[in-house]
Parts: sequence; C-alpha cells; structure tokens
Amino acid sequence: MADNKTQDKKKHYISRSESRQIAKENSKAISFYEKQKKRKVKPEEYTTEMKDDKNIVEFEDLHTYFFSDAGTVKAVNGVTFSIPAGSTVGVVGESGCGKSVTSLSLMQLVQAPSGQIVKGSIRFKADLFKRDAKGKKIPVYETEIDENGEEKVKLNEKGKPIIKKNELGGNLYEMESRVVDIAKMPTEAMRSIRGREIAMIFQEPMTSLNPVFTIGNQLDEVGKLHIEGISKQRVKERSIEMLKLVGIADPEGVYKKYPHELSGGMRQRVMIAIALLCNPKLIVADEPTTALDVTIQAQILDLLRDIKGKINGSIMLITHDLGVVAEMADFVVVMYAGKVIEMGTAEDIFDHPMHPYTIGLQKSKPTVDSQVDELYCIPGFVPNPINMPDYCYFRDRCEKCLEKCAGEYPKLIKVSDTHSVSCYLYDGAEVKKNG
Amino acid sequence: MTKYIIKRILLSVVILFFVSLILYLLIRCMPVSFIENKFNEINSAGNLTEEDFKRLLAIYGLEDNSFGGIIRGYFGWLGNFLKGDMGVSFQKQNPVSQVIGETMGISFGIAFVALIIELIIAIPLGIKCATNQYGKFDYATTVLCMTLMAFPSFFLGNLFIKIFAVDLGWFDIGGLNSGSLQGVSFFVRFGDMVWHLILPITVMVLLDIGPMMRYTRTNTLEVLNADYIRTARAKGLSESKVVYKHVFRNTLIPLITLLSSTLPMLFGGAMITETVFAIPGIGQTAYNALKVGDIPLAMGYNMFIAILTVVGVLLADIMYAVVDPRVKLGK
Repeated sequence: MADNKTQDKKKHYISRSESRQIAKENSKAISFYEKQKKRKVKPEEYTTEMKDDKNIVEFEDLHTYFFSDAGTVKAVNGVTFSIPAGSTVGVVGESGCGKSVTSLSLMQLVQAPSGQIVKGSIRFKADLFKRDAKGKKIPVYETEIDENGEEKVKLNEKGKPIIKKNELGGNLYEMESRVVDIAKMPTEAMRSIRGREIAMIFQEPMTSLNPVFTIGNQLDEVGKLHIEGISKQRVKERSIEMLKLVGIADPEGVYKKYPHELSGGMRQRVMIAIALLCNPKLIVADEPTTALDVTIQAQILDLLRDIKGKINGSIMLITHDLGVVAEMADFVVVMYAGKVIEMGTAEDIFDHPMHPYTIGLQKSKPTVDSQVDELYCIPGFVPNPINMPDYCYFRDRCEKCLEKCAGEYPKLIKVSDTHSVSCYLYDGAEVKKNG
Repeated sequence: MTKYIIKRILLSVVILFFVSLILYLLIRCMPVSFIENKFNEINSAGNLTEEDFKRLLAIYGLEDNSFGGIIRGYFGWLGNFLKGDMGVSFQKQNPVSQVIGETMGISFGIAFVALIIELIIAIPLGIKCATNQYGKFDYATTVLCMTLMAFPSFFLGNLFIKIFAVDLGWFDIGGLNSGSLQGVSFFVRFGDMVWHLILPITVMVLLDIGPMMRYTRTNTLEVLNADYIRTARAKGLSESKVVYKHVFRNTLIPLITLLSSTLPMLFGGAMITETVFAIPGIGQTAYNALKVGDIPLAMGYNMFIAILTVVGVLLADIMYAVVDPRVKLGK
C-alpha cells in the first residue's frame, strides 16, 4: 500500500531532470516516426494479407501514443477489431477512451508530430491504381472491332487512343485490389486512399469547412483530385448531385454559398456530401451528431443509414451515445482507456452485456418506461492515461472485482462466435450469459 | 458598402481636424526657431534691432507665441489648407505641396521595392517556419530575424556603409547618382541609381522582415490547427495544396490588414534610413524641416502621413471584407 502511495504522489509531480528526460525521449521518438511517414518505399513493403476475407478493415494490436511533455499518453493501447464489408460498426466509450484516435489512425490523421502510430497494423482492402514499370497509371482504352473482326483500340481525330470513361465520368484505369497496412504506409501513398477509399465525417460541422471557400469549391476539390480526366462541368454536376443526395433542397444555391451562411445540420450534410463524392468503401463518422440538436441528429442518422445502402459500403461510427449505436450498428466495440473491453453484435452488447463497465453503461442509460429518482453512475474516475499500470484499468471502479484482477491485464476472451470480452469474470469454465 | 465608406470618410475628416490641431500645437512648441537660426549671424554682429527681428517674425507669422496666438495661427493655417494651400517652405522657398510632390517619388520607389522583396521573403519564410514548428529551420530563422529586428536602423545602415561601401568598395553611397553622369543614356543613369539604392533597400528589407515573418508564422500556426485543415487532409490533398491553398488563404486575412496599414510607410519614406544614406526623399526632407524648424513643411509632411494613415485604416477595413466572406460592411 505504501508503494502505491508514493506512486500516486509521483504522478502529479515531474522533477526537472525527469522533464528533460521526457523531452529528450519524445523528440527522439517523434523524429523517428516522422521519418517513417516520409520515407519512400515500394508498395510491396506495406502490402499484407487479410486474416478474414470478409472484412474490409482489420485493426490488430494498434498502439497510438501521444508524446506529451508530461509523459507518453497511450491513447490507443492495443486495439484489435475488424469491420466486415457492408456493415456498420459502432465504437463506443466515454470521452478520452481513444475511439476518435483509433479512427484518426485509420486515416493517418492523428495530430502530428506529438501523436504517432507506434505499433500494430491496420489492414485495409484497397482498390489501388495498377502502375507500370515507370510508376504511371495504366489507362483502359476504348476498343472497336475492325473489318477483320479483330479488336482494335479506337483512335480520336488526332490519332490518339481514347481512354474509356468510368461511371463517375473520369478516365478509367486498370485497378488492382490489394491489402495495405495503413500503419506502415508513408503519408504520400496514403493520400490516394483518403477521400477516395475511406472518407471521414467529423464531429464539428461548424468548424470543419474552410470559411473562405464556397461549398462548391470545397466539393469540387475532391472530384478534381480523385477523378482524373473529369471535365469541369461534370465535376460540378457530380457535386450538385451529391448535395441533392444528402437532402439539401436547393443544391444549386448551396453550391454557391459560403459555410457561414448554412446552419450546423446543413454543414454536416455538406460534409457527408464531400465524403460521398468518390463512392468510398468505408465512411468513418467521428461523432457526426454530437454537435447537433436532437431532431437534426435523427435526420443525419437516417441519412447515413440511407446512404450506406446506396453506396454499398461500410460505416465506422464513433459515438458516446448508446442510443445512436443501438439504432445504427450491426457490431459494437466498447472501448475503455485505450483498450477494447468488449465487442460483439449489437444484440450481444445490448441484450447480454458482460463486462462490468458495459453493464454499468447500460444501467446508467435513462429509460422511458421505468421511473427512477436518480440515474445510476459508475463510481470513480477514468485512470490517468500516463504510466498506466499493468492490470485491468477498470479494476478500481469495478463492483465485481476478483482476486485475479490484481494480475496482468485480462486478454480478450471469446464467449461466442461474435461476442468477446476482456474480463477475468469470464475466464475459465463459467461462461454464461447475463440475460 | 458605399454608405459605409462615405460615413467613414466623414468620420476621418473629424479625426484629421483634431490630429492637425495637436500637430500644429506641438510643432509650434518645438524648441527651434527658423528665424533665429537664419538671422543669427546678422544678429550677433549687432546689425539687427529688436524691432527688425519682430518684423521678421511677423512676416513668417510667428510673432505671437501665446496660446491664443498659436490657436489663431492654427486656424489661419487650416483655412489655407482647406483651400489647398499648405504654405511655402521656409527653408526651400517653394510651396510645400511642390516639395512633397518632388521628393515623394523616390521614397515611394524605394519603399515599394523594399516592401515587395520583403513580402517575397517573409511570407514563405513564415509559412515554412510554421510547418516546421520548433524545428532547426524555425529556430535558426527566428533567431536571425530577432537579431535583425533588434538593430536600430541607423546602426545597421552605418554598419553596411562601413563594410560594403567603405571597406569593400562594392557600392557607392550618398545620394542617388554618381557626380559625373552628364549626357549618358537613361539606362546607364538608371543602372547607376539601382547601384546606389541596393544598400538602403537591403537595410530596409532586413529591418522589416522580422515582424512580417513572425506575424505570418503565428497566423499560419493558428490556422494549421483548425478543424478545416484536418478536413482538407482527409480529402487526400497533398501537403503543399493544404498549406498553400487552405492554410494560406486564411492566413492572408490578417496579412492583408497588416499590409493596408503599411500605406503611410510606403509614401512617407523611411526617415532614418534616407538620412543615413543621404537619399533626397521625403523622409530626409521632413527630417531636415524638423531640425531647422521649417513649420509649413513639417506641418505638411505630418498631415500627409496622417491622411495616409486614415486612408490606410479605411483600406484595411475594406480589404477585410474583400478577403473574408464572413465580413460584411454595412450600416
């Protein structure tokens, strides 16, 4: 116990030599990881294999740290889960549990230089452009059958081959499906995935659009960037089409407007339109409804669900709102202090929660049909993220704490095909559901 | 917009009235007397009687130095000023407007070239520092700029004269042209002028680059952390596009405002630098006018600067509405 006390004291106080030590180590670590992101490598180096071919994204043992002046914050500390193709995965947890950082890691958008992906892998099944020996994209040409019955490349008036158009109106190139490890990818290579394959919707619609450019300008930018060979007219058409798709009544008018002329809900719709522009396979929605009022929340959620069906993609939905997850998600991942503590289908998590934290969360949810004087709340606080001990982080707040809990951090235990939990309560024989 | 500008101009008139009043009071209180200096010799020889001296003062309109006299003198000056007559320079014996018009050109030329060079260097430098915050480049540039900023202009000017003109002999200094340039072509004369102006322009650029660089750096840093920059990156834009389109366009807003307020500096000349390099610009002329107590010229110059400042501020406000779509001028 005495040992614990001295450790507690230490947490609030950093001596000058310690602080210098931290700064030195941080700058070393940061420059190492920054170099990693800027290095030039062949695509083969970050190409991997999917563990399960049905998945579109697999996180495995992901560690994303922030090298702060007070010490290393392990914001994401060994997260493993996957997103099956065509499904919605909800990631829930309280503020600061690392859910947003997980999603930003997937986009390589963690606030650099202090935030860095340190370990682990993020496998993503990407459709990349096939490159020839010189690193150029290989176009697909229009063909015709000539009089000899042979297939020939069609030429235009100037005698140049005509490149086939894809469904978005851009040039068609040969594509290849390849599994890449985003955690090891240099930023330069990541750029062709951002916005085209994975698109992101942010929490703050009020500040997520550049105030000095028109909505049209900001939409067109994505089209011009990712759809090569598209005409200006077609880009504009596509942008307006997207604005219409997200339920904006006057798309031509909004196209010419500046962000400050729109309401929060409208801006979030514009953000969704930007995300959808290139038909991404995965949309990462980082608390898309947190800053909006309840009626707009419902509309935006409806829109997301609607759109998922239209583009036939997957959604990774990050939220702290259990109601939103219950409504939207097929699979749920519950995070606590940078780790996944329980995951399973929405039914598993909502009807048979197993981890004491998840059970606590469910209990603290207000319900309409029962009358309670005071809402339940989980006792205690989230532990300090710096210098985490190696035992279950929830131990000190847990009502069902066992002797075993003093030991090392519990591993994820599979209780059924879909449901797994990281708690000693379910370690061993007595695996039964808490109906 | 038009209504707003008219309102601002009317307001400016009021501001300029009080500015001119204070200026006149201060200039009349200067402890130099043009008359005394000019007729010092005759006076000390005993050839000037008290009465003669008073008559001389009356000719120059300086006989009454009481408060009431100064105020009366002010309204006399103001009446002429409103008629477009700023008086005749004591020292040069030419109308003040003519003196300002003649000397302004060269000052503007130098200041304009210096400003352009300054912008070309300071803005990219500031952006580069911001994108490499706390890096080696950032620290090196900051230290260098701070050092240059700390130099007084006369010191840096004289240092440069000593090193490059006297010791190394690379440049000729003093004035705009070398003495013996009669009958040469325009281009030779122009080349000669450029040769004379390299040092003063360099000094001006070096002195002013620091604040501009730091200003750009601070603003860029602020914008770099904005949410919409993350959105721009999430779209897949290249880093240079993110910085030079999305970040820079937002950094430009405070920069434009800063630039508009450099208007007085642009036309008003750099007093100290011009004096050190003996350039016959408006700055040096004004400096001399103040030194010898040339009241009409000093008044004219200061009013010129005051008007430019007021116009510069108005221009800054208008530019603000032009570059930032969120700002609407009205009412």
